[in-house]
Amino acid sequence: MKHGVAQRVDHMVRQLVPASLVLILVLLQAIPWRLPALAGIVPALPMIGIYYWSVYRPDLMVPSVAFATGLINDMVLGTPIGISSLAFLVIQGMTASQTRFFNGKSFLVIWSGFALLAAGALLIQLVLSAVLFGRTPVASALLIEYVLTVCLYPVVSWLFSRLQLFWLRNE
Amino acid sequence: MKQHPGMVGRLATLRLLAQRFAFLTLVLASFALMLLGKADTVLVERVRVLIDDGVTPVLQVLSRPASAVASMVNAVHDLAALRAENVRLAEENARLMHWQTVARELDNENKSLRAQLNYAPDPDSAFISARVVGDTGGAFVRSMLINAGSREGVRKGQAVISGENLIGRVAEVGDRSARILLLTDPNSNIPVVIEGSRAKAILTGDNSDRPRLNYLSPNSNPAVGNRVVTSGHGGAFPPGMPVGVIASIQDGIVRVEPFVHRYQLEYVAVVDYGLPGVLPSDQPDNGK
Repeated sequence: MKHGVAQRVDHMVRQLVPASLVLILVLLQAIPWRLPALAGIVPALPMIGIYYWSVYRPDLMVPSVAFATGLINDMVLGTPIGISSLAFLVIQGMTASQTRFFNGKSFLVIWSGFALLAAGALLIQLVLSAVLFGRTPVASALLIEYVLTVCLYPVVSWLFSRLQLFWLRNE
Repeated sequence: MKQHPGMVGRLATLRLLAQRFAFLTLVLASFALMLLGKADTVLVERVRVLIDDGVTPVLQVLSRPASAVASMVNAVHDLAALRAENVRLAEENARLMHWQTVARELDNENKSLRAQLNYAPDPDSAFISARVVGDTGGAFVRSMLINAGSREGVRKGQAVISGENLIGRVAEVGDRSARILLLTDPNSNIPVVIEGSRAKAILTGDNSDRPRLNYLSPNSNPAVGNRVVTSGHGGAFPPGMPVGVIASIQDGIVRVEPFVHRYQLEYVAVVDYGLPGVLPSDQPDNGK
């Protein structure tokens, strides 16, 4: 009990790891890469973070975290607010309800799960953005974004698994 | 794992129930926020600006390495096209030298004519240079974050240029950051004229790379290759700023290829034109 306070702080900081990593992804996607091939295309990186932590640490990726990071995502990207919040919540909710299914499944299954959920989440964003705000994205750009997001999943997932081992092993 | 299995089960159920309730509440909150964003844009904008101000310093640091990577990739690209580029530039230089002579003559002629007419000159523009720190929105929104805000004198509605060319206008201003709405965004409406025919139109974005010309008068006969410049109507932008060239005319839809592409932008200049922004305030009404 000598290190009670320090331990509690340490515990709290570790609890914040998933949310912080998603926020870093939010910032990463906002960086101007200035590459002609990527003009106007931003992979939905934060979705990867939301999904990853919902699968592996559902206790740390709770609805409020998905909602808050979605809100910040909308603020930073300039998209109509609430749209990312809803998309992230859907990914979190769907994944959390299938914890048993994901338990012990191979990487390929989990990756496929992400491909499915990311498509659903992007579709929700597309429909809401078009219906409520009259903003229809160019279909090809959105498709490339989707493919890029799914392709980047293994990379981000691998990085996160390293970090998870490093920071959250003792939890 | 040390706890009693029955207790773990009960705790899990309780947690699940709480999470479900939170989930539903937050889904509803998301919808409520969307409606709020549609109704009260001022409040939403204020919060957005606060967050943008917070992330801009971080993005500023992060954008440096990204910029270095981009420079490297572009350098390799340039190396491959060096010879062709050189030939093109030599040709362009010859052409520009000719134009320079013409421009000098015209400038002199203009000066003398203005002197004769007592012409009231356009107000002088001041520039605020800023770095693009955020290229955001992807397929949904065409906007950028720059690292200058009201502290530097940036105001809402001001034109943003790169080199001589218009790229958009200031949509939101924070203390040390501002969001630029690019020409290609659906919310961007810029009064323009087609050079040559002087036909007026409004350039409206639709998330594609080529914004379209709306409200073009029917007898204006636009042609592919015509230059499009700002008209200065509405008082927000100086007149005559280059915007782009007409790239295609299909089924009556005229599309303009902007001179500057989004991925090229690293530094931009905000033009302080000395006139009120998009919203005309109490300007003296000449019509009455």
